[in-house]
Amino acid sequence: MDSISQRVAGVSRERSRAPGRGTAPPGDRLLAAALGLLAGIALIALVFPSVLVVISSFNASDFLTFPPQGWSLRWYTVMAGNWEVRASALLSLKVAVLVVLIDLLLGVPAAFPLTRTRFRGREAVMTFILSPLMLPGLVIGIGLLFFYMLMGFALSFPLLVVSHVVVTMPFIVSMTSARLAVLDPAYEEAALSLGASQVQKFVHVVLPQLWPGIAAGAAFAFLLSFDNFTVSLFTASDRLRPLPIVLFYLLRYDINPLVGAVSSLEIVLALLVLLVGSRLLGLARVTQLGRRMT
Amino acid sequence: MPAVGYLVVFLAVPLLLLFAFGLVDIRDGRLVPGSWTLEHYARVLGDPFYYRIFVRTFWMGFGATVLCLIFGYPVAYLFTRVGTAARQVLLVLILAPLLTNAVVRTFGWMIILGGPKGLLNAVLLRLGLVEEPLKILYTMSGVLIGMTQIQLPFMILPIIAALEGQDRSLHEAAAGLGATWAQTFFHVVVPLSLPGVLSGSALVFVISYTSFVIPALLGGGSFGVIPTFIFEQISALVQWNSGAVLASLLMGTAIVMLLLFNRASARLLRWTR
Repeated sequence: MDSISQRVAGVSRERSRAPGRGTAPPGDRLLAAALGLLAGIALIALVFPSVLVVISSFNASDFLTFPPQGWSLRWYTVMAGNWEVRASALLSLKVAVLVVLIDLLLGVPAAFPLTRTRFRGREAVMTFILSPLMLPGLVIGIGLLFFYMLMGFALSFPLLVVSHVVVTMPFIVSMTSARLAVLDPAYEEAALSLGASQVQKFVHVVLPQLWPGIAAGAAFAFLLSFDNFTVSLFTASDRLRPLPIVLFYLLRYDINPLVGAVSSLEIVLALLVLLVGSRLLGLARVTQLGRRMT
Repeated sequence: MPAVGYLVVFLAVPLLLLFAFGLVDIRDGRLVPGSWTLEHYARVLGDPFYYRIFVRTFWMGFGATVLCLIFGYPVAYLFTRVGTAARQVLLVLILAPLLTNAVVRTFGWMIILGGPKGLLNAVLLRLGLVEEPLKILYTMSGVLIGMTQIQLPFMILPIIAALEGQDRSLHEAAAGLGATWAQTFFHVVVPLSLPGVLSGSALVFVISYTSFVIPALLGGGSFGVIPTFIFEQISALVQWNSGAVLASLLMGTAIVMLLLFNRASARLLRWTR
């Protein structure tokens, strides 16, 4: 490896050193094979369970067996006729819609001072607002339960909404701030100098530029609330069970094929939100969010 | 800001309460005034049973982190070596599971690992690789398999960020100096990506360590980790004191681990400069 001729040869071979080419040294080929194998397994493992859930939802038999003994939509019929699943899906939907509305009312205005003004402790305030994204949902859920119990509140629909806002609002703040930070203030100055009022400036200049961030944040906040498990586990009462909790109890001690049908719809919902998010922001920006999603 | 006020009331106060509830007596859902005590901590810390559960929870988090690293790093590396179209596909494959409900994804693993009629056992039996069905669901292996897949995106994304930030001319320089591709990978690419590896590992560890759904469903009734015990103490047994102590300890140990990861990361940064 030390001789000059070999170094020169190394330079000339540089192009051919991409993994998997025939002329590569054995070490390279071994590494490429190992990395390729591991990545292949990982990618299959990432997708396979969800694909399987969808396939199994069309299973005709009482038990999930492989290969399936026949195809049918019976589990979708069972799902539609299941009162508990229907009620919980409706509850989750109502909660998620209200949560997003409150998130927007609280989160969007908070993004402005955090991005636009410099004040002492701004970093600390930002960290505090974003902290629910880093904290274990379990701990937040228990803390909220203790808080409600100490205050003498009975667990109820409004409290479930209040609890979900804690873990979803940071999303709206972080997304709106990210969008706001790249906004050119010159447009706003121009609007003001042309005689626009503050309200007009906000509605006609700021909002149109800001809305992809807000909308994507709202889509993710909706999904986070609709799918939330750990916070609901402690802050939902027995009579008001959101969908993920109902699914959990259906699966607690057994595999229930009914869950397959509901799960397939959940997977479609996740893909839909991913589509909306990537349309509004581009997939690369969605990645930034994903990293925060715990 | 109303947002800050909201989070002070519904985040800061509840978290403080959570810590406080481990240090006072609670009877019938009411605080007993002036009853500050370390007795609940002493009871939990002095119990070898809880110690074993904490160790098991730690190993579950540690195992998932190592497995995520082994399988996640190659995916992140692959991402940086392919064209734009392939990147989009990879991103969808990585992000879609992240956005799918945790209960749903765990259900997918229940179908694969579950029982003698599960997919995995059906395949293994048909291929003649095993004589009788393996028992994987409701064991630590089952929990680790599911946990690894579910946390994989949290490992992949920070490593992608670290790899993307690398100066490609360093790789070319290594190749120009006669390093094989494998040598460049191990001596240049991997060391420079370590900050991403550490932040991914910290994320995966803490999420796995505090995860409830996966061990509760894939571990079954007899597989206890701290999060499932906390739930049992609080919901079924209404032992708020023990629940608060366990949750505080879980949170405290998770923070200690995060600080250790941060320190390692800071060391590394100083070292690479």
